[in-house]
Amino acid sequence: MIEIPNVLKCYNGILSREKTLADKNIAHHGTAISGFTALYEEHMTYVFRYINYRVGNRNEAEDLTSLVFEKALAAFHRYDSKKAAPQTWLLTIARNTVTDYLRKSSKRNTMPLENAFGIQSDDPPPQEEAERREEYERLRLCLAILPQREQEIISLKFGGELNNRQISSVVGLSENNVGTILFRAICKLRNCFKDWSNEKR
Amino acid sequence: MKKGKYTEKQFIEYLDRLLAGEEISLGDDVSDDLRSALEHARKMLAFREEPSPAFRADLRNRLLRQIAEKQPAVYPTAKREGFRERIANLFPPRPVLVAVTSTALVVLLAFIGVVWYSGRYGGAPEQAAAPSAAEYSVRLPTNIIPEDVTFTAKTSLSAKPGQAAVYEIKNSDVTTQSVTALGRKLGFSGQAGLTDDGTKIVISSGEGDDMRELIVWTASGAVEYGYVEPDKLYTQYTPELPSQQQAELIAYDFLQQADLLPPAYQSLAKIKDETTVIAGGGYSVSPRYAAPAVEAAPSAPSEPSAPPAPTYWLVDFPYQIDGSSATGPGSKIEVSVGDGGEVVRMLWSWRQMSPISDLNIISEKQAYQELIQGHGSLDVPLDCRKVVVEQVQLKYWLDPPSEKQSYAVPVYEFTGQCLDKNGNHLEDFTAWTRALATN
Repeated sequence: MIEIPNVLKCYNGILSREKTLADKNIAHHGTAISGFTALYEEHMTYVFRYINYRVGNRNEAEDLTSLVFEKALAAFHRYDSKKAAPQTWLLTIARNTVTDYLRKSSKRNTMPLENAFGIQSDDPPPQEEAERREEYERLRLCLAILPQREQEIISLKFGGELNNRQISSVVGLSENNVGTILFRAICKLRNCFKDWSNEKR
Repeated sequence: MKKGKYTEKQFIEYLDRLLAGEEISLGDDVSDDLRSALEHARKMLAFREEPSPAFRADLRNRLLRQIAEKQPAVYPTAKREGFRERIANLFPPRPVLVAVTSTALVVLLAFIGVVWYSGRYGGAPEQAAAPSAAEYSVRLPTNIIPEDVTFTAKTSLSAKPGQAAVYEIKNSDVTTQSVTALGRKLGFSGQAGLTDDGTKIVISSGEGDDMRELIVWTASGAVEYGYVEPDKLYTQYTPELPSQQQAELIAYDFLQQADLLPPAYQSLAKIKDETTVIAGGGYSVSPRYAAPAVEAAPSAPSEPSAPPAPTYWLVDFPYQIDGSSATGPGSKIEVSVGDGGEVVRMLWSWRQMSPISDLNIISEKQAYQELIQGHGSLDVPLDCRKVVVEQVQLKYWLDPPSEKQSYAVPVYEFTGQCLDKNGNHLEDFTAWTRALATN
């Protein structure tokens, strides 16, 4: 059922599995399955953060992250490190998965804000924590009202930590466009947040 | 460069440095607009959420399980590694761990005379040469435990040694003719052919997304069947799944049609209690949805909408050897039923075997001591401080389908949970030690 890519056929054994080597070594050693665990350790956080930005709910982000890595594992034999860096490849899968999820559930990133960053508690929080939580909530709301494309680019940048070139390959825009959209989106978020702060006063 | 473009460029440069973890100090040429945008970016970074350690560990374990299933299919054949090396590759080392590698639990059995089993199979015992000690060895995964972990048993451990049978595995001859014949039963036309240096025989059918393959490992006779593309398992649309009961029947009929039912499983009723149907694919892979009894994925009470349904049912048939359970990567009889009740995947590694000898085994207590002393096979996270053993069972170890295995040997399987320094649950574990007594 699983096609063996040529690169695997000359796989030469021990893969160095130090986390810091993950990207480089995955490329150099081919896509041996042992590299998948290194890829997971190295990139899982970015995938989760990206999805969490997009769906705004920790439980859903966990389920979708699981799905992304299951898909990635199923397709790992076809992964070509010459075509995309592991992080870009994973985040492309994540983007498609989230898009499909949002389409199917007819749902956008408009979650009740107390869920947004997984900071639910029954106990009344101390003053400082309450303020911080309120800020979280406002940031989520500001993000949720951005157009989908801007949300996506913000999520890829802040969650996936991709550079603009990588983002451009994921979303199919030019690098310049990505930079422009990113800057404008941040300014919109800042203004949204500032309006709320002013209202509070 | 226009001023606006220059500001954007500056912003991106600063932002990338922030993302890289640098502390940045803004120069005098930075506009107020840019300065406030960067301040906001910094705020957004501070509010990023991390995946929980429990989720990270849980997903890692699930992926490792899937890797173990796929392992024979994706490992190279030009230069085959030993089982231990491959398993070691699956478990990335943690730099600060002290890896206690005590694999290769070679059990040296001194036979003066082999008492041949003449029980349920009847007939006169045949005289045969006693297997060498090496042939009774069991190859368990590498033992990797933190330096300062402690062990607790929350179950009673028997101090009584006993006896258990060792089984001889009948390695059937897998030929292109036999695989072609199996393929016919599953709707394949054409001829099967050797691949990967003769380690597998493959027959395929269809094209593109509809391409199916049937793979049989020559070393073990294990079979993998399914669609080449994963889309049938992880559909991009909401599939029409049968009920779990229907899926169970479909899976059973599929095995029957292919003549792959183990001899003792000639009636579904006989194995029904041991068979589980688990929600798979989609978003329902997390344990809270993977309960055998659910009809559909339940919605979490705090969430505003129900999570999407599973995309297939995984029917997991029991793998038993004369009533004892099997364990290890070669102990799979799984059928996945997807959209429209179609079988989209099957993993089958049944091996014919017969008992050859009852041998002495160590007690559960002794096995537990072996585990504590690092002579078993256990892999726990870096931050595991306490290993709590909750169950011990005697099972039979089966190697991956890519391996030729001569004997099925009993092992002790330990299950339980790992706790962190605060006593919080990190993840569940499964560990093994040898069971056969060395004298």
